[in-house]
Amino acid sequence: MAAVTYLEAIRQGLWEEMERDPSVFCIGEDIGIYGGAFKVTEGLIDRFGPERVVDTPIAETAIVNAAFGAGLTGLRPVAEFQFIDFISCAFNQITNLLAKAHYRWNAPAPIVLRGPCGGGVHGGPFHSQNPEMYFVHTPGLKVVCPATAYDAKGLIKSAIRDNNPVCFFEHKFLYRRIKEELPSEDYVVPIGKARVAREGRDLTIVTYAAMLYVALDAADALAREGLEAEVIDLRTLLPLDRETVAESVKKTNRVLILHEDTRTGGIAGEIAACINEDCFDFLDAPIARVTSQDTPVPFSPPLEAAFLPNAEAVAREARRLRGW
Amino acid sequence: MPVSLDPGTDALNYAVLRKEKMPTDVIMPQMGESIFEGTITKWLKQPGDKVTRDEPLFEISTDKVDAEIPAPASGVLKEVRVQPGATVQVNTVVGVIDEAGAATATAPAPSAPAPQVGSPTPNPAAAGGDTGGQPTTAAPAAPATAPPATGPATDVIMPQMGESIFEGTITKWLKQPGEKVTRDEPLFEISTDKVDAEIPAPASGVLREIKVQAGNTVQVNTVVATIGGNGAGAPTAPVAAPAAPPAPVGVAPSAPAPATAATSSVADEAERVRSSPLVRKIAADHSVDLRQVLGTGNGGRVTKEDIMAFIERAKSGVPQPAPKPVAPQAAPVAQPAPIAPVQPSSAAASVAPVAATPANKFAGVPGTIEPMSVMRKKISEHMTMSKRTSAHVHGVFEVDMTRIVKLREKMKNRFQESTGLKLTFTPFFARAVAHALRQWPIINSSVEGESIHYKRDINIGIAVALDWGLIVPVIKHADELSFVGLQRAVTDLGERARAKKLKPEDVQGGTFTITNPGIFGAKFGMPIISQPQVAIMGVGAITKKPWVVTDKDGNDLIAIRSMMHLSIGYDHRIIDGAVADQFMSVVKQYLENWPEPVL
Amino acid sequence: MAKQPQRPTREAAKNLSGNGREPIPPAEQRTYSIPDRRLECFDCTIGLERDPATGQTRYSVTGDLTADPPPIRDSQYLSREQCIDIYRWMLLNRRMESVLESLYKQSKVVGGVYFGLGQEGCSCASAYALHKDDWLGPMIRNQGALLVKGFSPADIMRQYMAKADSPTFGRDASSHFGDPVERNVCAPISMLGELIGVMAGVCLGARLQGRNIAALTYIGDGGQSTGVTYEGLNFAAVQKLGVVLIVENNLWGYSTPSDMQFRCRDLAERAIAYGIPGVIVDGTDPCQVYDATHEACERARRGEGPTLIEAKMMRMKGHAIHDAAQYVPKPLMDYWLKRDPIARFEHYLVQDKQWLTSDEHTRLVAEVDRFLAEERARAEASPMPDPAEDAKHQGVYCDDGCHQIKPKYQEVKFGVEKKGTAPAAANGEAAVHLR
Repeated sequence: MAAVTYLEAIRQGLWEEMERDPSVFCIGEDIGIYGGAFKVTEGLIDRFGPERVVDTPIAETAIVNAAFGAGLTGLRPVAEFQFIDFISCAFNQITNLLAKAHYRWNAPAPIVLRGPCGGGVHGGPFHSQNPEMYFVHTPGLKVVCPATAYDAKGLIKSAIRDNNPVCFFEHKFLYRRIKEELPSEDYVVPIGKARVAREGRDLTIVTYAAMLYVALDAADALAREGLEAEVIDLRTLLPLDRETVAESVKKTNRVLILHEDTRTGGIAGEIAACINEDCFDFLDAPIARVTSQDTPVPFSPPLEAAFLPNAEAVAREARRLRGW
Repeated sequence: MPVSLDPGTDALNYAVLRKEKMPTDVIMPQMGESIFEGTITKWLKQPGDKVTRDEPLFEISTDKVDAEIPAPASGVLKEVRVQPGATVQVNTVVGVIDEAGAATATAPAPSAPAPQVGSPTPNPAAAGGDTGGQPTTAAPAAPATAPPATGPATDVIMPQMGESIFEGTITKWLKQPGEKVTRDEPLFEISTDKVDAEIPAPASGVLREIKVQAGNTVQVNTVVATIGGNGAGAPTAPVAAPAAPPAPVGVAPSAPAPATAATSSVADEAERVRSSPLVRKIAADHSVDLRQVLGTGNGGRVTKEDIMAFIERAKSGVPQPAPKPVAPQAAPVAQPAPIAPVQPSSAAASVAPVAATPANKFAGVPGTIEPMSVMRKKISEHMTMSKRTSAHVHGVFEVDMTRIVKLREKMKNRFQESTGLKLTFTPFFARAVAHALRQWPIINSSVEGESIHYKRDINIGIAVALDWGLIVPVIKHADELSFVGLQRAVTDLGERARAKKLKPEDVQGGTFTITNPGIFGAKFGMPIISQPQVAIMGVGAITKKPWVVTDKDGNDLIAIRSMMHLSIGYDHRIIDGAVADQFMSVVKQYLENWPEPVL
Repeated sequence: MAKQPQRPTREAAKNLSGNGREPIPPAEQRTYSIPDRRLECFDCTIGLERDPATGQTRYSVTGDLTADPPPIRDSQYLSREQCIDIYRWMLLNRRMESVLESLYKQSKVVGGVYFGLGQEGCSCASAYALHKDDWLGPMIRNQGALLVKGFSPADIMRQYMAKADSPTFGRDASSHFGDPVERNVCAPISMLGELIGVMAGVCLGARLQGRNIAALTYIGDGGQSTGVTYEGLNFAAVQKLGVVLIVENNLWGYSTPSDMQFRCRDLAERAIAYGIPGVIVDGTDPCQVYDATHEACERARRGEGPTLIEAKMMRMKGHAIHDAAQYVPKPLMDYWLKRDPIARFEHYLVQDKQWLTSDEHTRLVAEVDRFLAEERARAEASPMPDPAEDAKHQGVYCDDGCHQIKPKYQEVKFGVEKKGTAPAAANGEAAVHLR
């Protein structure tokens, strides 16, 4: 069986869910004949028809509002943002209409809001962002950031089957860069469960999305120096799997949080607070974080490279923790 | 019974009497939820004038409205406290109306009217609500042909006319006490800057009492009237309410002070050993006194590995390396108690004796044993740790100080006259070192794990010998100070060190240290680095010596020169000999060819 | 208000679904006119002026405000009983709001109260045109529409009093509640214009289930300034979704007159730009409102797409109870007072048509008041919420089986035929992989 890219894994997930459940449909810009800006929905219109692959005007608020309305009639819309940067255009709709609906008036909003996020592709300030924390801060949403093809497929299926609005952030750097063989049978990856991507005893690196690979690279380098890092892939940011993080910290006593999102208000702060609450007594060093800088994502490759965290920075910080 | 008006002794009665009998305060109303103050533009009455309730009394102006404010009561305007043009906060008393009409317009203090007779305090506030229990919500609509003979009293409250409204002003009562009212029938009018509204009665019945007269501003939810079931009830009949027993404030015997804090210092001392949450937890679990554990982490911190090794050695009976000195405070205490009662784990049983292992192996040898002072202990700890941490190497340079000695001799009086400071040699060394550190930043660094931290600031520590030990205050940003500034810093730090007036920050943040073993005549010393710095310079004694010098014609001559040894101790982990020597040669050159004036 | 719903066949629905667009007529055949159903045309403008005496800036109105109110236009669709029915809803709407005002001034209402005074005819008659399967997206002043769609006055009072058994259990206020199951009402949010896109989505969802339905929502002359208004209605137009948008032009967006909200003469003109039908009605005439809404709903149910109805009227109170609306020029207020929708409709029913005798009318009013008194007693007797008990209600997440998500109308049939090109995917429960 052939290896499948991260992007194809998402397409497979959409395809299989649309076949499994006719109440699933896709809505977004250029997702029909063109197959989406990144071709995630390619072929869906031929298979499921224009009724279930709805091309829209360039109007993010209309996409989200219409998805919500269709959800009220018992359907499961999957709304695509061409770049996740444009999710800010529908910020009010997502945070006020969708996120609060169930709590306010008992109306479920079973909607997936998906799109490509992340930098490393020289997309500049408006095609590289990681806006997850705006939504992690909003009660009522779920926020999912898969890092592997396996998880991308398993989580898009879980997101579609979920009865809540799920922000599903696909890292565009990974779209065609990673491949793996996927099980032939139907499977889902549960939302809200982190994964230990690499075991280690000396230090825990908590991360997600494309930074998983940076963490794994750093862990390899550190292993050559005799420092065995455990790497946790969060997979879901909201609800956060604090148990898995705490379990690892109790084992390694040192923790480094790595994310591509900017530093201030990034999830590293939240995770650090959770660790303080859950396992302060097990810390043998301060909690460290490696993140991108508090600036917009710069465009020029050398600037972007300096902006993004890398394996060297992670290894350096890990060594500092060890020597602390 | 005379009633005391001293609010300190009988605040409750005082408040009641104020409400009942004192002249009516005229207050600045709140004319809008965001209004905090108002300006009085005009008084329409003068002190001594008669006023009738609801008659315009003064005019105000606020950010939102200009309004005529009606008198809250009838009587004589006794006092105007705020003159036109003045701006005051809402609820400020701006005038006083004497309801009795007594023309004592200048009475300075609130004269106490005769108190109500009878010991239970008359409490008009309780008059309405006390007959039928708690105020209730309106009864179901019933045609109010006749008020029920008895029935629950309903409080009429000031409504909240806007989300952020705190107060409202009653402008008019449409019913008088004793009149019948029907639910939803207009009862009174209120005014704010946003709305003037008629407020309907919340229930049917008889208006028993108006608690807040027209013209008054009260907070929302204040009970402004009561509607009762008893039509015959005298509206103001005071209902005997048992006086609340005075709170025993001030009477209660002062509680015995909580357990004295004296015993806590031992535990504090243990806490001060640098460790981590995990290490402290392990220590508590195994009854380990952290002061006994050798810390190898950054700054001597006890790491997880340190304490695990300690416990391991204790189990196997291996002697512990370099235990830290016991805190002097611990001496009178038999044995520092383990933190918290510890469950006897299997490890704990064998570990427990560990705390006692550094037993006095010289027991029986004649002499006296004195605990080390805190400073001694710290120096001891720090020097041991430094020797263990850094790979010390030393080098010695001979410096011709003649030029500086002469300069100082020539300038010291003028220097003192113009600056008030004694000119010493130390600022010369500090200046030369700062100059050299700028050229050799590696000397101004520290080792952090496997990294080298080049410090941005040049902060030079100056060792000061004290009768009771040694301390190293730090000249911050030494490279940015003028020569006079350096001398001032040196003098100030030295004086304060000897007077024990140094602040914690005065001894922190050093990036390089100068010590002075020559002060008592040593030719040079081999100083130990002050961690986490990587180098230290020792200044030997200046002595006159015969010295070969070369004159400008190239002839060698023997001259009498003021010579001095400078030693450098450096950390060979990151500084190689060539680097240290070049650094020192910059210092030497700078001193021998001193280039700058001292004033 | 029972009407027999016209159910288009599934075939019809499919043929009329959004992807087919009829050919654009040649330029000379295109019409750019907007029908105006009103019997009089309010033609005044509100501007700013400076009072030379006081130096204060205020609103002034220019135009003829002397005319007597026009008669009610006979409905083409409503029967006598239906007219009386609508009148009863309007009375209930207005008198319920009077009760709310009393409750507010007695400090029993939490927060503010928003009134639809002067707009009852528009709220009630428009909602009256909806069928059971149609949807309603009310705005803050459409409490009458909520009543018509099946909520009780006690529901609305409890909502304002933040009671434990309010439709939102005290979690939200005013008209911010709905019912996606029985009554097909979508709760609004405070941001204006959002429900237009939501109603488009409701129609999209229904169409996928083989049904063309009507989804009625409102926007004010102030709210229509928002960008989402455009995005939502344009999407509905492109997809031919059955949104019925009533622009309630009540002349004031909070304190800003409509002449400071938009430049075009009539907001219904905007329909031309969307490529959809637009119509102007007198918002104080329930018959005109009903007829226009009914026709728009019928278009929607035929799958012909959205309609924009501009209903002209005036908000006869402030934005909310704390707003005395003193910025409204008095002649303007007097003009519209004469056009009170309830007084006019009463006159129409009692005098013009003589469909109600004076006695019958008195009884009808008394009946409404008696009903409201009961509702008020029930609402006042309700307890305030207990924070400790609040967790019994639904949480922020819809988990743990609190809802079954399934198509409301019927199963989706589009794209379900197997074609064999898809990657193999097993049906049934998925294995949960925890790697």
